[in-house]
Amino acid sequence: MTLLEVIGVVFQPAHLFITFCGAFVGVFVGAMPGLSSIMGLSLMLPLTLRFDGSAGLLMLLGVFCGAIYGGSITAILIRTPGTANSAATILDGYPLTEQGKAAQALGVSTLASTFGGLFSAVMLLWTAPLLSKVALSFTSPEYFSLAVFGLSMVTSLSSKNVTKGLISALIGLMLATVGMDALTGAKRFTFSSTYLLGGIAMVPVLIGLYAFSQGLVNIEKEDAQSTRTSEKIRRTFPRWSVIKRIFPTLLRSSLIGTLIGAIPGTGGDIASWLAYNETKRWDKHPEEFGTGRLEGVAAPEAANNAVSGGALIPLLTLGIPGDAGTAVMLGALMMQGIVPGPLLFTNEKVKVYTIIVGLFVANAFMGLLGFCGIRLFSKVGDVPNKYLTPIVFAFCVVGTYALNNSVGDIFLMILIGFLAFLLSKLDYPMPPLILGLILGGTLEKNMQRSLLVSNGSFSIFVTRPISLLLLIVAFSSVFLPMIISAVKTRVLSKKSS
Amino acid sequence: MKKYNYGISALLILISLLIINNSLTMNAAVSGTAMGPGVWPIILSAIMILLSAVQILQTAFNKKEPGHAEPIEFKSPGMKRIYIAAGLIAVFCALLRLFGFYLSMVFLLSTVMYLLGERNKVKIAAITAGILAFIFVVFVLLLDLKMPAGMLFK
Repeated sequence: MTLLEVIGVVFQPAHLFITFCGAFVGVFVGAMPGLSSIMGLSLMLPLTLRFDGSAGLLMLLGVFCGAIYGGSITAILIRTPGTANSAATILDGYPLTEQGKAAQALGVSTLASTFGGLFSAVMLLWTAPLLSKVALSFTSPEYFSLAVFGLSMVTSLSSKNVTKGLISALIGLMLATVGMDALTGAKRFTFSSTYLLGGIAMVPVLIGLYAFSQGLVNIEKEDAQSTRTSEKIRRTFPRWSVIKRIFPTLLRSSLIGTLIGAIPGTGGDIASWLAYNETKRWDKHPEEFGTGRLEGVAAPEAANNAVSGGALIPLLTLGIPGDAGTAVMLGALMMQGIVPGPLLFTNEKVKVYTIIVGLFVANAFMGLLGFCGIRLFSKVGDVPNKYLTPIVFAFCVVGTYALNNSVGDIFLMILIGFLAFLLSKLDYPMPPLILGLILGGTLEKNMQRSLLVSNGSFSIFVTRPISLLLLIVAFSSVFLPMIISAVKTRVLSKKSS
Repeated sequence: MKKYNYGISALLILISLLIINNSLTMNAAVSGTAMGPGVWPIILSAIMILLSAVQILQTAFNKKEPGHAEPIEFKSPGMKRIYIAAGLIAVFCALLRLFGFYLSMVFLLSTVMYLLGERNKVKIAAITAGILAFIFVVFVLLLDLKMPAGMLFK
């Protein structure tokens, strides 16, 4: 009954139109080198909060799916991936363009992206309710450990230097302490400012971190004239013989993408490289990869779009975002009054199934846009940086202001943007910072509740099996790479001496 | 990179100590709770001090990270554009406070385009007007958002 009710909601003409608009913006943002999917999500977030009911969520889902696909267009046409997720697509996509087969490559990329997205949506619909039943037994200590686990995975995987990743996460956690303490109502680090009383708003931080700082990067690079596409695109839908040939690749890569997406801390870039390598390994002619094989385009594209549904599995069932993109989705859900976690599947069935069904529709629109609007999107990468950057700044300012009608938010966003620009230059990753800011409240609240139950004893976190297991995995993921690296260095230095 | 790692670590240790000092004053545990409002910031600050110390040690003993590698080249043309952009954005913030959204945006958009190499005044004017018209239609007319008016026009 719920599913039928939800289908009725999602398929309302207004909601379909909004999802379509989201997918359009997503493909546009993804296709534009210099703009990222997270940036698109951050900029659209304040706009979606102004819509009623499910409309905002559906628009964000459209952006989320569209941006991942959009990155492949410029990767294939001008050898510049719109997002990091499409870097592997260049390997065989650009050689196909050089051979005059750009339309074929774009057709396969669109088909693979749509297939991957729809496959992961099916997996989400199938696995999420099952996982949420397991997670129903979770209480405060497990939630605390789960948040530690999510934070540790992202921190350890998103940085070249684990220490810098952890520092970045701690900065986010510290920023989350500003404002009133949730349990006692005490003011913390507000410096007598009424602006800071409500805490550090997430949207200005998000826009500053991902959009404004990117504008500054574009200014530093200048690159006034972008590479222009010369290829004329005609028929893009792949022939039946091609579909039959690439089908096993689509299936395998979609499965890889969904699994990788479901592991917190991973992302589309890891999934697409892994799927590409696996396809090459399983192929009878691996030596042909890199010269323009359609399987080499299909594998990364199916995998990176399958991540979208995979990453929503831990987000909806456990409240743990799979990557930076889903971290923004987590923030968006919280702002809409939806608290992701196992209870979501019992208390907010309509909303959770709206997200799942919305993911199907968003992927379908993404495919439709890909096949019908490819000529338009293939020109998006031609927009020079000198026009793109001012547009980014304008939307940063308006997007930030739209949330609370606060000029203070604009100043905070600009400050965070400059800080992010400097920190990124010094190799401090940004995803752990935003996750720290989002998960800070959850961590502290569940720690306070757990300690209240245990009369102040920290042993509660290690005497409960699931909590202990999560903590062990979290600490291993942070410290094991450090230990292995130290041992390797020692062995190598001994050998050389 | 080395000097930046040392500098940032020292700064983070200093900030953490200040947070601990501030948290201790608010920390008198509120009755009925196991954890006062200052406990969590103290835990975080202690971990931050530990990590900053680890970063200092890693930087000191890491031979792979040469001291002369500069992650930020302060005198490069790119960074010079960043300084100018920072100045323009500071002026934009002041104009936003005084004259409101539209005038400050005209300043920001046109100067950033000029900074990035656009010299055609007609193009600058047309693109600025186009962006502002788009924002007006979508955000003001359709979404009913009231843009900041500025102190002088209130």
